Amino acid sequence: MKTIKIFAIITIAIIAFAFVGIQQKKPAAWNIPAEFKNMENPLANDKASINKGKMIYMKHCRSCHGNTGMGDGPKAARLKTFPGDFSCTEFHKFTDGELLYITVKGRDEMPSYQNKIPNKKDRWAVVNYMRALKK
Amino acid sequence: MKTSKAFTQKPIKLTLSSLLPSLLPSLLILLLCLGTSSHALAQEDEFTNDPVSGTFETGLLGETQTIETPFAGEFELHIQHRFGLMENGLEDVFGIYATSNIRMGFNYGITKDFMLGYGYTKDFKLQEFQGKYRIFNQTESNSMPVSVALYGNLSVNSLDKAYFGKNYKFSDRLGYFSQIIIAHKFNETFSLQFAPSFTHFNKTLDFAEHDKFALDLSGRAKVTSSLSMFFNYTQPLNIDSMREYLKSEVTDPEANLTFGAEIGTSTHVFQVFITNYNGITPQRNILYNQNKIADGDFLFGFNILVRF
Repeated sequence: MKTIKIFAIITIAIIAFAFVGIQQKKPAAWNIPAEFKNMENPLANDKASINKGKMIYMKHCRSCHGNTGMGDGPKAARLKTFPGDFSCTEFHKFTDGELLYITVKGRDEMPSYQNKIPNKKDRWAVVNYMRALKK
Repeated sequence: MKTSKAFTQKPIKLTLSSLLPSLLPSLLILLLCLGTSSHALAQEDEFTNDPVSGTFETGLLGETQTIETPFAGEFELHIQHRFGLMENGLEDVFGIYATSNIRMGFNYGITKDFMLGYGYTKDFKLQEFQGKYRIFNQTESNSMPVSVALYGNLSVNSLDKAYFGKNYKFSDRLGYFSQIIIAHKFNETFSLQFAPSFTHFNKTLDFAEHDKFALDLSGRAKVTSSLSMFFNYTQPLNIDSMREYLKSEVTDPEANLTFGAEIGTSTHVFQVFITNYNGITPQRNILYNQNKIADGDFLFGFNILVRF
């Protein structure tokens, strides 16, 4: 009986610890070079570019950032840092150039997509798609 | 075991006029498609001369190579599986419990347009060395309307030397496959490619010719952002004027039809399909396939690609 009690306590402790462990921290402020802050988006923000951006986003980004950019993708729960809410006003204070820098360069758990999205037009298309996620 | 030397040799006579009737239909299809391209990709902006991206999901589409290569410094692990023929129905669950063929390999991107790879295939214990170089990239404005790549594959049969019969030489183990791949991305949804190839084996068995030209037409249509449907059609050219041996038509290789679905993510590509080919290695498929489309000799196959 004593063994069962010990086993039950250990099991409950492990489960409780697992739930405590998934607390995510807020992302720190980005240190973005000045050249990106004022960079102009050369791609028209039209339906074609948004659709193209959506295709690339769904391939590379949705697993963490979620289908609608709410930071609720299937991998998000395993991240130490919250992947961000792309629909909020705070996110859309970033300029297009800043969003391009964040997307392409990455940091920490956010990988760099410099090689995986080599085409400049594709990169700007992802920026246009993220803009379209604003509520 | 029969070897190629057992048969009466006939002089090889290869003329353009003998090849043209077989080549023309496929060329016409590609040219017609190019002519009716919507030019949805064409834009007069700073991206005009940039190469188009995502013509295909990866360098492999079912049974054929595409113009895509891994990016510079990227590793790709390939796991390819072909089950048995579906002909026995539930008895072996449409070939899933039948004898299967497996290939494992990897590709590495040396530059953005050049890759090298190695793989081994279960059947005939084939060791393969392959390379692909993309010569031209289709541009956003279609000023260059197609992407063109060259692909080569050298296979080494690792079976015991007794398999090769008398007068064994190491070169008997070698098989070569070379291909020129011409692809066009029509829009964000649809891509098509045409790929003539040449196969050569230093030593063949059972009346099989040493050399074979073949034509491949493949296409992919995106259904959602990550799901696509695709097809391959490969036609070996059994040209009479190319025959080395009398009566070699009894072992003429059969055409292949592959159709299936593809799911692509940032790190993985999954392809599940129905095909006639079970050799996995292109030179074995081209020269030795005896599964007929008309007889329903189809089997299930899948490819899994992991990107690092």
